[in-house]
Amino acid sequence: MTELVRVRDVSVDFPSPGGTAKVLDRVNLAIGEGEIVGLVGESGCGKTTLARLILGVLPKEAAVRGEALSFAGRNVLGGGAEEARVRGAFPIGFVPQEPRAALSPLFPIGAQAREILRWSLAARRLRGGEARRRIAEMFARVQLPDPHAIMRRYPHEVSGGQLQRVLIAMALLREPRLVVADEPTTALDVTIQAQILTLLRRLAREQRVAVLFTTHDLGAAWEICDRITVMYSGQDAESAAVETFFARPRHPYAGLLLGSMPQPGAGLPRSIAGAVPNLVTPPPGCRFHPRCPRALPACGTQRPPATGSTTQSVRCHNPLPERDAA
Amino acid sequence: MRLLGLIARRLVWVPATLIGLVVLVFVISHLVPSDPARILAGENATTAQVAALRHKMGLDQPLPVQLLRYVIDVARGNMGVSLYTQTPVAGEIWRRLPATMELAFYAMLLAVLLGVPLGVVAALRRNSWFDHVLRVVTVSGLAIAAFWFAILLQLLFSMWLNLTPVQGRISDFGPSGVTGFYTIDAAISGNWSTELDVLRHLALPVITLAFPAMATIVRFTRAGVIGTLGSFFVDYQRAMGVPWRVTVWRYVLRSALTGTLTQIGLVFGNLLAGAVVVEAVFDWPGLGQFAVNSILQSDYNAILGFTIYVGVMFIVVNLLIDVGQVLLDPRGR
Amino acid sequence: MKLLGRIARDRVALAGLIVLAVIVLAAIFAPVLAPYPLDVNTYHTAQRLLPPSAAHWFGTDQMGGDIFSRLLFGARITLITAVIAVAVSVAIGVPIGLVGGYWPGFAGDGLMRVSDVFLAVPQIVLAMAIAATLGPQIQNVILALSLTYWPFWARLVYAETRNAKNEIYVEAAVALGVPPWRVMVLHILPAIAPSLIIRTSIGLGGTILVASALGFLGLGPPPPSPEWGRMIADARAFLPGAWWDAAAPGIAILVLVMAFNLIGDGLRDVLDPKLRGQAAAKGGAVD
Ligand SMILES: Nc1ncnc2c1ncn2[C@@H]1O[C@H](COP(=O)(O)OP(=O)(O)OP(=O)(O)O)[C@@H](O)[C@H]1O
Ligand code: SF4
Ligand SMILES: [Mg+2]
Repeated sequence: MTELVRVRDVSVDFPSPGGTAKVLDRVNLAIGEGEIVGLVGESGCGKTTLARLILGVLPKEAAVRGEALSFAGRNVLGGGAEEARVRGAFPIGFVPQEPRAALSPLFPIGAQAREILRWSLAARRLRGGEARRRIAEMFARVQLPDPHAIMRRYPHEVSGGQLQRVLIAMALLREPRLVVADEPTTALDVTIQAQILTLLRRLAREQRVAVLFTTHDLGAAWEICDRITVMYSGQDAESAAVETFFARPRHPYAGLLLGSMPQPGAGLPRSIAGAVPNLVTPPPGCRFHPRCPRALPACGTQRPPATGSTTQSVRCHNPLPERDAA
Repeated sequence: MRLLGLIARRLVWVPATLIGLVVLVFVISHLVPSDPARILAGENATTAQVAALRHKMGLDQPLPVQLLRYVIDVARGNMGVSLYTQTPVAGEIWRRLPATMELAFYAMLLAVLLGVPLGVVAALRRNSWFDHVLRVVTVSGLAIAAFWFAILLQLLFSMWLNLTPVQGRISDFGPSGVTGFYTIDAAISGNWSTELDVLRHLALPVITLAFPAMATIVRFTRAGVIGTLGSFFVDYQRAMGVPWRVTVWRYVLRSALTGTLTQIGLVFGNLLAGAVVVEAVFDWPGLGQFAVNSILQSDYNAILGFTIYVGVMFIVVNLLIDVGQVLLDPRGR
Repeated sequence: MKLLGRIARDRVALAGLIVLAVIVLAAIFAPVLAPYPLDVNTYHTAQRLLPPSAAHWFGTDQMGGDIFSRLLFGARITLITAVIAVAVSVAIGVPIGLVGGYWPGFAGDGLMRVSDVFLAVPQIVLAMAIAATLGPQIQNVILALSLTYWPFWARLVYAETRNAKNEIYVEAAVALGVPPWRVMVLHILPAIAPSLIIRTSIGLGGTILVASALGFLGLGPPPPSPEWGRMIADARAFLPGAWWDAAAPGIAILVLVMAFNLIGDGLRDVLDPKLRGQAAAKGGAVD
């Protein structure tokens, strides 16, 4: 599988009232061509920040540095104007968490979809009628009933679930090689969540588009992802193929996270003791060490290197044993 | 249909507000007893002549009766006769209306055409030198006395540079035409030297009126754009490859302008208030000058007529703004 | 005092505050500061329309009066007019708005319809009519401005009171049986005070503009009063020659009104957390 996106040891800082918030700390992430990658972690661990880094829409005050941020093998980091180069690399579709906020309330849905199409390389020269047909086709692909009627409506006249389908369609209109879906179903109710996720997976497969899917719901990641990267407090903890991961996570945090998933007949889930660290003065070394039951002295001083294989790589000084060793 | 309901609900109150306005101005103009009949009859009139005139004008009736008769007359479209010019007030207002409207129209046009883009650019370059300079300009625009600014412009452009006439609306007679807007009438008849003359007369009063209006529009547009730039859809469009200028000038501006529109009523009110004084300075033959003259001469019927007229205009403009608001924001429809 | 300290940290507002303080002090000590304190009432025909010089900083007017001295005395008229007129308008408008907003039914709507009548024409038109009927006197100008300005305050307070009534602390007070007037004075009024303070500052500036326009049209205090608007009107006859005669009072108005507006803007930044939040919103929304 060829590599589409590679994030290597990238850090992002934000100025905040109490000092510099070190929101991402030497983070690593890889997305292969056509691969569906789940980025999993608790609220506030930096999923949206990482997603925005890849989309090239971090807020102005964000300070980015690191080894590499590569798109299709080309590193865009260093040398200024990164943002423009990120967005110039290849078309990326964006499916945000709150679909209603992503659209202007003052324009019909069709007009806003047309705007995306107008500026995408794929369809710049389409005529009006042609463009409308293309949009309607895509709306039908995401199973929106009566696409033409929806194009004429305003965002407030359409339900949240349908609006999220609209945004998926708009993302695919760009003919992207990657879709970044940032908690695309968190704002929807459970029955609709499942429909949207299956749809996303099916379309990604059909069009051979890679997906970066962020969520704090391990179950959802299990449903649709090929691979999973677990994050804790701005650091990547473990990255593994889905089956391997769910069979035997190796990072202690990932293990506890999996253990805290609600399971039928298992009573209330266990929660992880301790609190998420603050980001202005995060713990040195492995940020999980104050809460980690397996912590060693080295954990408080050194960031653990990545070990293991490509199917399961883990950053831990004292990881849980591998599957066959168990 | 919401729209019709809105209009209906507003219109219900129009007659009551107007009657209230007539009563108010009637009370104001009778705060101090005076005798228009004596003024009208002239120096040499005998007491009997004055009494006869008073009777003819209904001034010997009790005040409430006079008020009632006036309200009924106005409702029939009769605003009475000016005590000074002896011409019907309604006709006088009608004759002067285009002059004021032409002035207000171009002032508003200039204020919007300058104010909106300047406000957007100031918002995009917040705290740049451009923003700071513009802030000084807008703060001055809201603090300057219109009559003094007018005199300043006359001094500079008319007296020193000799570019524009000091006063008036036109050098000769107005061009004949249906609109009463000299700029349009002259253009229709293809009379370009008149057109130029009209524009030179318009320039200074329009600038005077437009300056504070522009300042208001800049401030609201800037605040609106800054507020909207924080919206998530701005980042979404950026991520999805929509060029920055399209996002700003089509989507952000549209949101910001729905907010600015609510302020247009205020701007229009200030424009009319400004016209009263500015027309006096430029000897502009419009309603403002008419108001000043009739107030200085205690010409009751003229004052009442003018006030009612402005009241109607205000109510209509505010209604139009509410309607525009609903039309601009689909959520309200 | 804490408020003053916070305003002072905003540089623009601080500039406004300093300018205002200087003008107020100059007005109070006009008899001491003015180089020719008698020039308000006496004529020196030999010294008509002299350009600015060391002896007459801003030149002299058509009566030979020292313009600088007359400006200092004119500041008294302007400040007194504006302060009294705004104080009276606030004193009338705020209670009406409170009562109307607290009982928004029949009584409240009635009160608001009355203020709508006043607001249906520009303030200056009504003020002109009143001032003209009563005659050109400073008391009449103040009366005219007060009678036409209170509806603005009534409207403002009405809207804010209606909002405040839905706040939890007000509902709680009502539920506890606190009498209405106490709720209004002790709970609602403090809540809407910030926006009243902001509007007062800007309102003082606006009132100065209207008052000077009345003076300019000959409806202000009669000559030889050094009222700024009248000074400008009188100076018009001597343009373009004696430009300083018209320029000086206009600059005085501009500077004073600007000071009030800047203070108002500064107060807005300090007092209105909603607006401050808006300014900080950019870049804050990450999710
Ligand atoms: N513009 C900013 N300025 C300062 N801090 C920021 C900014 N944006 C994000 N942060 C901080 O960065 C941290 C990570 O935020 P982020 O939104 O990336 O987390 P997340 O994993 O997406 O959380 P959630 O699951 O709640 O969406 C948070 O603690 C947040 O407060
Ligand atoms: S590195 Fe140390 S502290 Fe961090 S997870 Fe592994 S064992 Fe725990
Ligand atoms: Mg997030």
